[in-house]
Amino acid sequence: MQVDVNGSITFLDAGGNDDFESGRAISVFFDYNLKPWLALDAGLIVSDKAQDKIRTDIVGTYQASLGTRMLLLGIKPRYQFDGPFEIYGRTGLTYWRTEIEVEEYFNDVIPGGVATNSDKGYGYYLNFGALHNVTQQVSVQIELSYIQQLDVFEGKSNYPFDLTITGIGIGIGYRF
Amino acid sequence: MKTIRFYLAPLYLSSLIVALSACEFESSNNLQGVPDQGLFIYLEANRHENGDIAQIAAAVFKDSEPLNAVGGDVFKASTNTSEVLLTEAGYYTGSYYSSLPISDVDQDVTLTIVHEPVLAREDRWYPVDVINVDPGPSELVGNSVTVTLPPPVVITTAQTATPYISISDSINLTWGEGGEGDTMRIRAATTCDNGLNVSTYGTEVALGDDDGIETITMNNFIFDSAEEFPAITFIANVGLGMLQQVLNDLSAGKADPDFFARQLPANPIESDCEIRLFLFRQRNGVFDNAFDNGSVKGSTSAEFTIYYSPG
Repeated sequence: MQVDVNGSITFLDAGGNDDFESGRAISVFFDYNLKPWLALDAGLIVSDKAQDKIRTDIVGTYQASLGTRMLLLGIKPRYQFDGPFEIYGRTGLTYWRTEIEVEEYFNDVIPGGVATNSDKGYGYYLNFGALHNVTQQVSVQIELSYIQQLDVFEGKSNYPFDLTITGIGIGIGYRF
Repeated sequence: MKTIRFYLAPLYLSSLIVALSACEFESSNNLQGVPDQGLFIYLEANRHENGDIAQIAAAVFKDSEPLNAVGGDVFKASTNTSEVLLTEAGYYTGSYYSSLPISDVDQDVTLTIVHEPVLAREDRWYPVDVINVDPGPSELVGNSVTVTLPPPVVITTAQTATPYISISDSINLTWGEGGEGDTMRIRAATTCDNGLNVSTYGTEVALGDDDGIETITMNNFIFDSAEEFPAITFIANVGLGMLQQVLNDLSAGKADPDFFARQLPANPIESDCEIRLFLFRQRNGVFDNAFDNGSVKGSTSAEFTIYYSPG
């Protein structure tokens, strides 16, 4: 069994004219070894609120931000080279909860405000990583991630979208 | 206490300053009759050469200053068969444009100020129908103006083949007369090339009554940019956006958005120029009592092109 903890820089793409600044996320994975080269993979990812850029249109000046939390369940195949190096992948399904907050201002006379809404749903993830075993128990790793949240706000809104989250992270693993 | 949902954006002043600093002379404002106090509505709905779309330009002024539509208040232009929201901001803050599908059975165009907090935000990426800071409608919502499109303009005579060589040359123009009470106006989109640089700009001249004949001198369109006060009227404010909208529609949206930014590296009087002349027939419309005054016109237009070559 193994526990991995990664800190990541994330990049969000909602498929429209969004232009998010990079965000941050922390992920924790628990791996249960089914075979020497394959593990059951379960994880939790929590991101901070990534900010879209400030925009002005004919309605007002606004800024949107998006935060998300995800549970992940899948498999983790891996390949151990001779020596301390190893590569691995993770793939599976994710259950997410995503919240969007919009702060909007109009002018000095009309008060602005903040509106928030959230949705839950499913998606999938596909990660690749490489690690270096520092000791028999402890490893350091670098991991690329690709997560797709499907149909965000589908059924609630006439304007649903798919959210793509890519990221690069570093972390440590502990085997026991 | 009612709130005013339209306001003067500081951006207007800055954009005006930028526009004026791009040239050495002061442009005149072709929008006549804007009062120092009170609400003023501008609308022009134009159908060019019997096309299937009408160009719509609209603006509201309060105490002579243009107002922005904010908070989901937006202009809606409509006929009996179609409608469109004016969600595109124009050259100057506070002016809005769009193209409205139109057919021969549509003679009247109505502009109404509506509150559409979702549709006005449709270009945003997030679900605007479930995440929306909606301040509610302003006091202007519900007010409207209506214009009737005059008969189409049919140009019967215009010398277009031979280039004009002097700004004192005259253009003899005739067209089929329309209804009584209509007035005529020419707006020009001019491109001048001196071999090294290209200048583009827009001018206009009021022709007065719709009597079917006019003689216009070239100095209404070609000028010496070295002169401090050339005898020429540049199109300013919302009229500029109207002609830009016509150019956009004629070029399937490929018109240079900076055509009327009035950068003049080539002196027109010394350059070869292509002058696209748009003859407008304009008819006054009516506006609600909520507005103290207004310039509300339905128009039709036709185009011809002349050339200037000083030799």
